[in-house]
Amino acid sequence: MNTTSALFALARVALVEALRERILYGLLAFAIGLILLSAVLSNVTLGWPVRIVTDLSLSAISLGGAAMAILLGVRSVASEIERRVAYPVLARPIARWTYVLGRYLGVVGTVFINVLLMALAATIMIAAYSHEGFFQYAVSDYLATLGLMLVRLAILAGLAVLFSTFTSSTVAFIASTGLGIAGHFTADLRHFLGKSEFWLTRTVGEALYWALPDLATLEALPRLIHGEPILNTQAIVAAAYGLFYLGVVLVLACWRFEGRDLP
Amino acid sequence: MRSRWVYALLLVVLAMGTHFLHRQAVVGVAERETAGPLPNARVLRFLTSSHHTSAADLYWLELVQYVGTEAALRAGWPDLEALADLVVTLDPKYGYAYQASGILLSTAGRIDASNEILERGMANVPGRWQLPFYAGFNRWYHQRQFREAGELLLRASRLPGRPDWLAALASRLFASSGSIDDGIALLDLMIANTEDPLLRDDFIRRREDLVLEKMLRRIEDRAAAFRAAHGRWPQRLEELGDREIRAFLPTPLGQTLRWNPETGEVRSLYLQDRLVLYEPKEEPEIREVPPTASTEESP
Repeated sequence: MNTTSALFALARVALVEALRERILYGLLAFAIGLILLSAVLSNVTLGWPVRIVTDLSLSAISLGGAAMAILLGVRSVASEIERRVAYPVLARPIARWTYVLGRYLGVVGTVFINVLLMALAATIMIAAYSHEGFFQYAVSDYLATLGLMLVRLAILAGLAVLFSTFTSSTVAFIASTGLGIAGHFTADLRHFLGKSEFWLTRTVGEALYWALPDLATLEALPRLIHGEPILNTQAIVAAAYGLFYLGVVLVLACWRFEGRDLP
Repeated sequence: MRSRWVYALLLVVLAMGTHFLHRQAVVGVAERETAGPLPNARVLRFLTSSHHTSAADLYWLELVQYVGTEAALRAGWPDLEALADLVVTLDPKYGYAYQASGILLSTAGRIDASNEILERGMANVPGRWQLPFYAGFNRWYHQRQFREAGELLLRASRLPGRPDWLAALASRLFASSGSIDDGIALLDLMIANTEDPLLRDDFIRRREDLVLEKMLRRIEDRAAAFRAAHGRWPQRLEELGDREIRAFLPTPLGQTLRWNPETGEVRSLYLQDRLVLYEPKEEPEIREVPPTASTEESP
């Protein structure tokens, strides 16, 4: 079996395993429930119901997707090691990086399938609440917003898998959730720490700014609901930044797992 | 078997207790005049990070529910400014929030607060024609500042999406310095551009005030002319022979009119305070307003 087919076989197994997780369906039901709730709430507002539907339903997808990415990601490797299910697989002539990458692709594939289902529900809602039967937003801008959201979720899944390669599921969950939250405040962190008169604090602020993922840059929802253009050079550069950052995270995960002594 | 009955009984008692307490809690909320403790807008803006628009939407929904609360309505919405400030601090580009809050504050008689939030909106969402338009209405209707009203309407008339005849209305405001017909035209425009029943009802009520005021003045003029010609007041308003007055009398607003043939006084049961016509001492000058950016938010 060559590396590519091993990679896809591992990804397929991880996808099937992830799709069997009951928590996934709980999160999916929760997110779709929030999307439906946004439609109910839009009926008790003044003025502009489609804004409420768009904002709350895409936020629900973002939150639900993030929860899925982290919960599935932290279990992807750590739980396999804890349950000793990984050993028969790793005993085969499969490189460890292939194993990590395969597990990651399974997780991210599951998250993307669920996000697409939620996005379908949200799009139908937005279309139903748009003025005079026309979709409220430019299709390219709407798709770009969803695309940036997928990059953000791919990074969160990558971070969860990274922590999962060298620590327990619980610690990996806490660490990746913390990084996911901190990733929305990197610019603020740099701004506040940069005001310090002590050079070390400023340097720490600068280091954190470059080391943490800048997830706020990959958020286009506020611009979408204000009718601002999204699919432009800035969005493409932001997506490229996200993919490069993801590459760094996955290389670190593979590297860390290669050097790990398994009991 | 016996334990089943115990569970069933327990379930019924707890369900009834829950329902009773829930009703009490809901009544408590409905009777509340204030919106309850509100978070610091700047802190919440920071904490919600890139989801600040969703937080703004949730507080906007709270504002709408608050405005519709009977007790808050009776108290004159004391927390309206704080809620509106929270919403527009969370999302400074929320054009409709500035517009609706401005109108609601104007309805509550807090004109300075209304102008303040509309001006804040004009700075943050410069392409939204409704903001200078409603600020102009405040100047015209409440503050009798016709020059400023004209300038604001002129500014609104230069923005994308505005109704075609807004420029003509702005010119009329400059020229006539606030005739009743201009006010009715202004309110017709506002009614046509407002879908929300709460705001529409307020504009319709204000329009009815102006229509009544216009008719009262017409009756007073015709009655004075009648007395000059006949040396007495008419016994009934139909005697005036004015076609417009005669057509108005059977309408619901016309039914509220009361004529006193002894004193020649006419009043409406509906219009408690007569509106006063402001006569400026000099003709206002039309000042050039610099064109603004056209970043229009959706409806």
